[in-house]
Amino acid sequence: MITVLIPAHNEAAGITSTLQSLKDQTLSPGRVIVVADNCTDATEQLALAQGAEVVPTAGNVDKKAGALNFVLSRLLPDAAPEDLILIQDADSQLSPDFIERAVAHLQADSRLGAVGGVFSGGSGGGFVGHLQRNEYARYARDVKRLKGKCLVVTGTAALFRARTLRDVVAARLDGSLPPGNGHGGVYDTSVLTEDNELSFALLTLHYRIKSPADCTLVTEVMPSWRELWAQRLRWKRGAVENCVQYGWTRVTRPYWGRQALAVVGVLVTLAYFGTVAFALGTGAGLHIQPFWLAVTGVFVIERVVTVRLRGWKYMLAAATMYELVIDLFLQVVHAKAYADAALNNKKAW
Amino acid sequence: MYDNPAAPAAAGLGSGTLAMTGAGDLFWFALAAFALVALGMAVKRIVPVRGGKS
Repeated sequence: MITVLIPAHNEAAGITSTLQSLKDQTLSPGRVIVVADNCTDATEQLALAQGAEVVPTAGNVDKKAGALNFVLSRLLPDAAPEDLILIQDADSQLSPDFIERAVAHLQADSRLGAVGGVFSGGSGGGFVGHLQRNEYARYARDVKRLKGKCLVVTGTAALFRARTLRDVVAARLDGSLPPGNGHGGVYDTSVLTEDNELSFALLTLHYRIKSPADCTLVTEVMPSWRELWAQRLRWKRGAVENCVQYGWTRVTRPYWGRQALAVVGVLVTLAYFGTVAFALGTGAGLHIQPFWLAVTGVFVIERVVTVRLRGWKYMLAAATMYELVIDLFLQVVHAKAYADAALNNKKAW
Repeated sequence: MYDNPAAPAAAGLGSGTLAMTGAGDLFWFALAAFALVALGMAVKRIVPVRGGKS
């Protein structure tokens, strides 16, 4: 039995195509449940029109994680251990064989705790949308090269066994995992990135996680710089706080390493541009260095090669390094996220 | 989730220049060391891998 859960808060714009992609699956789910969380638009009506079950949340103030806990607390007690639960975003469309392939991966490995998807960016968003599609294409290439090894099974789509989620609940209640919502909820409602936290939870319980290259989906891109800022600030701060929450463990060591590298990256960028501004301001001038020019050449090649999934026109454009716009933008987001986490500024998402 | 730690170095070195500010050798060694780490990561991302399918 495969049950799909789709948490939805005012998702009228995309819910129909999301549900249509589930109807087109080569392996059909037994139940599709849209968890309507404080919807004030036509999400519920549109979901019902597509034949989905709609479960409205009752008094949920914990957003997506709270909505999922609400419905999982009803589903899990009656589920068979090997029943499967697919949790996916309301703005993501699965490729037609997603479920069939994800099930095959789970069945091939009893310690595989979750199978996620490799996503590409949907249309729209102008230039900032274009930059995100390139970014997602690079991510897909990375995951493919790593044979599905991933840092996080993202909330865009992930398939779990019921017994795995029950293990998480039990571990939260017995204290071997962070308490989550404090009442045995699968998802931690106290964090900004509940998918990242659940990935940590599964790895802590000695499960494996995977995003195989053959499980693909399309997800929406942020349509403006402002929304991208908010999304990435949440992701970045959430990731930092998840590391702090779990501390220094065999699971979190590589994640801490990436955080440290990112901090140094922000400092290097600041230092570099600071010195360039200083040199230009004082008339000391800039000096072309052949060695560093060659190093820069390698970075140009990296930008070109890694966007290959999108085709030669995109590769050609990448050689101009115009994507430095989003690289620098994300550096500023990282700096803000670290500052907010360090100063414990108010969280908003 | 999609961090590319090579990007900041690419951003910093995009012009292939170094600003002579009198900040001292240690500063430049530190900057260069990070750039070389990022360079190694960039090369790793460029080279093909065997059997790219999962």
